[in-house]
Formats: sequence, C-alpha cells, structure tokens
Amino acid sequence: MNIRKREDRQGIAIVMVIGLVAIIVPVLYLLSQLGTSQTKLAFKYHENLLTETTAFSGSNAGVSRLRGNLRGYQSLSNQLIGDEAYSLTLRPTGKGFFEQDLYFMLASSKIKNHHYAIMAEAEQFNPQPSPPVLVITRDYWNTVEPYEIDQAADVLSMQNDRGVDLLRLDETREYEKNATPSQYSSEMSAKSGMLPSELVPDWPEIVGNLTSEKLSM
Amino acid sequence: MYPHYKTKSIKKGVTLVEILVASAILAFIGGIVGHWFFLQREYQGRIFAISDSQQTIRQASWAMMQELRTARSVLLPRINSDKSIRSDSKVVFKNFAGDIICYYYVASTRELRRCKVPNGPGTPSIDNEPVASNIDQITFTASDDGNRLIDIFMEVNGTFGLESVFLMNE
Repeated sequence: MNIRKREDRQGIAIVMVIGLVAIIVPVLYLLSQLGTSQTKLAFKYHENLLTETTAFSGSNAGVSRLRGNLRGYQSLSNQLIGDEAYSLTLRPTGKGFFEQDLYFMLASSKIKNHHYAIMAEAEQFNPQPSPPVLVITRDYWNTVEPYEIDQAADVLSMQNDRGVDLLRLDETREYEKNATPSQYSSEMSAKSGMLPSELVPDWPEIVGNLTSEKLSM
Repeated sequence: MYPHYKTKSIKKGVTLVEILVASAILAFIGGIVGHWFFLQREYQGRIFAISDSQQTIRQASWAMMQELRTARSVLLPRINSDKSIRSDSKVVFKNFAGDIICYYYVASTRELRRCKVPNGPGTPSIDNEPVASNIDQITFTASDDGNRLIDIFMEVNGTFGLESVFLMNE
C-alpha cells in the first residue's frame, strides 16, 4: 500500500519538475535577453557619445589652432586624440559682401561601423585685426562663444587663402552683371529641360525671382 | 511469485494525463513568455529605429543648414503675396558662391536630394548620393518677407525634426 502511494507521488513529482523547467528556462532566457538588449543599447549610445566627443575634440583642436594663430592650419588631418584617429578639414570659404570671412570646419571620425560627420563653424569679421577681430564658433547645439584674434599675421594668411567659393562668386556676379534681364531669364529658363522633374513646375517662378534680383552693376 | 516486481513494472513512467497536463502548462507558460519576448524585441527594435531616425534627421539637417546659413537668398519657397507663410517639399536658394542649390524630396524613393544649377553657363548636376534616405516627409517653410528665414520639418519613421535657419549673408 505504501509502495503504491510513493509511486503515485513519483508521477506528480515528474509533472512538477517538467512544470518548473517549463517556467524557469524561458524566464531565464527572457531575463538574459532583457539584459542583452539593454546592454546593446547602452553600448550603442556609448559608441555614439564616444564618436561625437572625438569629433568635437577634432573641431575644438582646429578652433584652438585658429585661435592660437598657428600657421598651416589646413594640415590638421589624420591626427590622434587619445587612441582615436580623426580627420579634420579646415576650409576657408572667403569673404562676404560685408567684409565678412567665413571658415568652416568639418570633423569626421569613425569608430567601428559607425560614421559621423560633425560640423562646427567659425566666423571671422573684418576689417582689421585692430580692434580685435571677433571669431564666433557654433557647435552642434548652437552654443555660441566669442573669441578675439588680434594678430595680423593670422588674418592676412586667411585672407590670402580665400578659397574657390569666393572666386566662383566673382564669376557668378560677373555673369549676372553682363547679361541683360531678358538674356539672363532665357538662359536660366533653358536649363529647365535638364532639371529633375520635381523642380520643373516651380522653375519659372524661381527664374522670375532670379531675374528680378539680378545684379545690374 | 513476484507480485511486487510485477506491480512496479506497470507503475513506472508517466501517464497520458500527466503528459497532457505538463504539455498544457508548458504551452501556457511558453505562450506568455513568447509574448513577452516578442514585445521586448519589438521595443528594442523601436528604440534602435528611433535612434537611427534621429541620426538621419540630424545629418540631413546639418548638411542643409550649413549651406543655407551662408546662402545669399532663398528663391523658393517665399511667403505668399498676402504675407501668409508658405511651405514646400523643396527649397531653392542662391548659395554663398552665387550658384543655385535645390534640395528636393523624391516621394517615389523617399529620398532627399540635392541639385546644383550653375548661375551662368553650364548644366545642372544632381549629387550621386542622396542627402538622406527613408524620409517620410520634409517641409520647408518661409515665414519672413526678407527671404532669410527657413524652417525645416522632417519626419523619418515617426520621428520628427524641426530646425530653423537664418541666412547670414546679404
């Protein structure tokens, strides 16, 4: 009689074991997945932060050189910040209508399979290094900070390297000045056939605005 | 002669009822856990998608803002004649060098593309690579009569981005 009772309990025990295994194994698996996904997420944000920090360090290095009045600021590429390599291009774009010089910096860095391009810009206002010329930089969050350049050599070196944009500006301005309004309008309208289809319907309005604001002298 | 042995051999193992009960419990628990797991995966995928979308919006915004900020004037869109704001899926402006730059949305491919039209002799050229992909919608809004302020609204997979650019040059 006792043996029979023990054997009945044996069946229940097997069911209990199977039930417990059925609960514990998936729960453990779920917990491991939760942990893994959170870890992956945290690591992704960590990489994002690290990459952006590296890129900003590159930007700041360029700004520091600009502020430090170092010559040869164009050769900032392929340097190291800590263990991370970065490339930095400083491209002076030239002089604006109001004696305004604009300089752009592009810092890009690459960690594993992530690639980011972070922009920062510096504006330098003429005309003279004395009184001090203001340089304003803006980072990604549009944080604005002033800085003064008060040494002539730096300003002159920048002015001498005005860049292709300014040369191109001279060409476009000359083109507008030398063409009559009707000639300018017809030449710009003729480009309509070579435009992407998304732009074609609005092109007459654009040409109208261009023609009405065309430089005449 | 061996009643005990005979009884024991019959009772060993599990009954069909026990297997069915265990299977039912396993299926029930498996269903709940599977559902949780599915929800967790979905949540994880959603977070990654939002992160990627924000990255797309940020990169596209920066590419356009950098060029717009130094542009000479916005040619399209401009506010309406009654001074009301006007929006469009494209923005056309004269850039720093005087050439005409167009950023436009291609609905069929969900891409944001850039086209450069020389302000002078030469043919328009479209950039080989899109500025951004997987864009659901993009709107450029002009709200000032000086044609110097442009709002950029973008939607990527349910994530939104709004930027404003003021043109610095005359």
